[in-house]
Amino acid sequence: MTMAPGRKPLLDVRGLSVAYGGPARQTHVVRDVSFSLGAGEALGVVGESGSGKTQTMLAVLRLLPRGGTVTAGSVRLDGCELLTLPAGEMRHVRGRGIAFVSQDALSALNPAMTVGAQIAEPLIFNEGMEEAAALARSAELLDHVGIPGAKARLSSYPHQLSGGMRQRVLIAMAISCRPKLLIADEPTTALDVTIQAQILRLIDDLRRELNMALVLISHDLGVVAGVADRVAIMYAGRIVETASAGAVFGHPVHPYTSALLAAKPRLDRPAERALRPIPGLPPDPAQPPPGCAFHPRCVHRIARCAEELPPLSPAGGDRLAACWLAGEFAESKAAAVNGTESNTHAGPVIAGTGEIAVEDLSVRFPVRTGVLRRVTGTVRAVDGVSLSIPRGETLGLVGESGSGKTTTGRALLGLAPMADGRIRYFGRDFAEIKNDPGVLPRLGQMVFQDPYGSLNPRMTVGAALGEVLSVHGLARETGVAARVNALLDSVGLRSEIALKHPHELSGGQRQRIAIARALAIEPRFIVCDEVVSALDVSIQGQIVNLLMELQRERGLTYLFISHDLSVVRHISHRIAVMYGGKVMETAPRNRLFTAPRHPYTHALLSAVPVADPKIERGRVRVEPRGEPPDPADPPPGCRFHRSCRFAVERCKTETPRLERTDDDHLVACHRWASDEVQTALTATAIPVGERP
Amino acid sequence: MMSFVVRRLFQTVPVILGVTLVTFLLTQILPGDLADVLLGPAATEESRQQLRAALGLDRSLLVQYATYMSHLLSGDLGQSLVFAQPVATVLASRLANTALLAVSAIILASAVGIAIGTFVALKPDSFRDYGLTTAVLFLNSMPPFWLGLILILVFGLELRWLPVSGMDSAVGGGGLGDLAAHMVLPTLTLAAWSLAVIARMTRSALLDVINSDFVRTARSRGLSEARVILRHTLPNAMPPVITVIGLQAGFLLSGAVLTETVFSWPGIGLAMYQGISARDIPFIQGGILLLALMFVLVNFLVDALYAYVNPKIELQ
Repeated sequence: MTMAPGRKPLLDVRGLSVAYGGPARQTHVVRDVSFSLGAGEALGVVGESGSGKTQTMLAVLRLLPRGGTVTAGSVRLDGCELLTLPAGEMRHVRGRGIAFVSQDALSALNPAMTVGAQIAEPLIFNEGMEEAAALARSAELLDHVGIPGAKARLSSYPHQLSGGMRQRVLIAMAISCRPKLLIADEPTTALDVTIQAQILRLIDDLRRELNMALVLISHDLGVVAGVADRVAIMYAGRIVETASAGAVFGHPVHPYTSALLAAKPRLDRPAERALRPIPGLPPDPAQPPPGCAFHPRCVHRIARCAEELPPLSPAGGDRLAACWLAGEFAESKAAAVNGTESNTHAGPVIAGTGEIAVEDLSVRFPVRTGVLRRVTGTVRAVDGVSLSIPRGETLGLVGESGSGKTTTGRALLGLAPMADGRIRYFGRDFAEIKNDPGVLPRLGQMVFQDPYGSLNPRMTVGAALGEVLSVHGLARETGVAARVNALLDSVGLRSEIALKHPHELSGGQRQRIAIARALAIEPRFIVCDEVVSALDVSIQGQIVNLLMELQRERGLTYLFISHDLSVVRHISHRIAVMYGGKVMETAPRNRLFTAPRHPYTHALLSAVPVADPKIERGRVRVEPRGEPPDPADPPPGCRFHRSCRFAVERCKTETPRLERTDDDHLVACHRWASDEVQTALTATAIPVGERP
Repeated sequence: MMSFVVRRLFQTVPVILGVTLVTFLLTQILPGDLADVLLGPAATEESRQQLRAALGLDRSLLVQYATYMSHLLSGDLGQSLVFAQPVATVLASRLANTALLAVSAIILASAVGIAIGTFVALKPDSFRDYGLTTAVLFLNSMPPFWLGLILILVFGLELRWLPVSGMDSAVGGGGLGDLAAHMVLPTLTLAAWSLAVIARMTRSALLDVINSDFVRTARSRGLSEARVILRHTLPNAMPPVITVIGLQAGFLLSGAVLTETVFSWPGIGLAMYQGISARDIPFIQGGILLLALMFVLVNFLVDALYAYVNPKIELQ
């Protein structure tokens, strides 16, 4: 991207390439990447896993893992070449010139050192501060990043903090030596949406306050939209498009950018019938296709795309794009995406009522402490949850981590101990069938988040699927192969896959196998626990579409658990919102988004980022105060009252029960009908964007 | 951390009780009993019965165990036949000798082993790594008694630098310097194998940790390589190394029979060898009990160290 003439860039990267492996079998993960960044400027780098976004930034810091080398290029910070700098001087640049915040703060912090010792370390050993002064400064830094009781927190170990707090500590560490550039690598990926919104705002505030330049790496366009001035889209190790945020989001030119934007359902737009995932898989970096790396998946490809690599060249305004057709797309409105669909959501094919009904479900786990490991408390993971799912429909279950949504799903399949409550299962009482291995698994199955972890690495796909069939006596030995092939076919895989082991498959393929395994005994009900969370955006849509198709064909009933509200809205008929082990609100999917009745739902929705800089910049977020309640020590009354801006005395003592509103919501709030709440919640949580 | 250590201490109680039961039952499993050993094969059935009655061997197992335990609690382990002294007295003096050797060996092995392991892990797959790793593998595969004999041949008999047997010289011996000179060869022999194991474990543990995110965080903040390694990497690589050191310490404290025999070192190992050869049942019983207790102690120390190195351990 080009800088305004006459202004010297802070960071200038030219022709950077990174490869792994020896000269004989080199695999390039970053290819000829160039970009520059002015002081105080924010660049968002977006790409899917393996696109080279993190590797580029690690190369800038010269912190590539062992085996990785920079094969070409130059990196200048304030005009000083970093790649040839002696190691001692490069150390001086790290922390002061460029600071780094990585994802997953738990593994990025030293588990054996207190937070205070870790923050203070470079202050003492690099800046020469006295220990007492360094610790005092560390407390200031913690205070600065919004950690309450900063002084007392200095002596905590990372594992004693919540995920959001750990990320704040990591940010405090990064700004401790006042860097000129902060590189944040997926800083919010492992966090809940409300915490994510807080951390993003913190990073944005800090960079303005300290006049830092920022590189924000993310796979999520929405995360980047609110913060970045400029955006670079990476695919297969190259930048394919870069421009100001408004231009990239408003009028993408590269077909990959358009496809990426279209692959994720948008909460600010009406729901569509089917998602538009990008067909195919990202290329193997060891064997990239000739020409443009995206051409095998591109709907606009021409003969030239497969032969010649398009250079990153100007495409109007300050935009650079690497596509032979960029000129045409820049003229027209945007690179169109295949298969635009109607906006109506198809109702269930087979309708029914209350096929799965849960009443007052509670799941508790004992807490053991002390020398004798006595039971000293109870974690109320699920505390009096009532739900119902009509046959052939999908109930979306959303909530933040620790809200009890996964435990609820497990309890429905008899995988978590039920302390209380009643479940009706397709007309049968759960208590009667839960211990019968011949009945319950045939009615309900589960698909997990991590398909790699849930498939036996030593079994071929065929053996894993065949095992399920023979255990349940569903196929004789001779019929197994045919049944396995039919199953693979039903999840859109070819029969050769049966001979492969899980590690030979892509993430999306593995998740299809996990779905095939759940389908093998033809259950009527499937619990999908964060089934697309571990997948890339371009693949997520493929899995969601598959699940919806299977539901239409077979009349399956789903409980779809996810923290991703846009995917949940897309697939669900009705959505339940959980908080602190309780259901706060359930509503038909569109009503939940357009007219939330519960203050928590409203706060949750307002935290979800939208991939549109115009909306993100002008958005007013309702941030719930503090963190979610500790399930081992839940507050009395309403679980949300401590964070709720509408809480009154009654909320602190009396637990609200679910009440039905006249527009088919169920709300557990004492104050939902009050004028104050009604008025406040009409302010839309998610502004509606225009359709492109 | 204290709660964990205290809990762990309580957990050793049933283990120790179990050990006493097993050592007690051991004498029941052995063919013949104490009366047979004392009287020899020529004794009459009548005198054997008399002695059995006198020793209480005709009472029920439960009563015998109770008697054994009550003696044990008052520190009475019986009379050794070979050494003609109370078992407790012999064990105490021998244990001190063994501990002297074992503790020196384990300190030497840990210090040098961790240093070598760290040194090679800093440059994996380099000339330094291959050279030292091969040398360590060589130490690892050398039988200790053979190494002992070679050391005796070279330093004792050829070069005549160091004494080759016992704890002190017959003439003009007894001083601290003399003891130290006697310790050199057996300590080296004992340390060699442990050193190799510790070095290899340190190398692999360090290579695991050095790729962690928090090490990258430390580097990204401009900390010196020495601090990155010593403050961030090594402490987090220690748990498996501590486990290995604990196992080695257990073996060494239980008396390395071969090494003590080769160097005629008057330790537990040598004494046990003599006791077993003479079917000295009270001594064997006491010796085994002591060795088992040493293992329990070392394991407890290892766990306590774990809790110190890893603040998270309390939760697990």
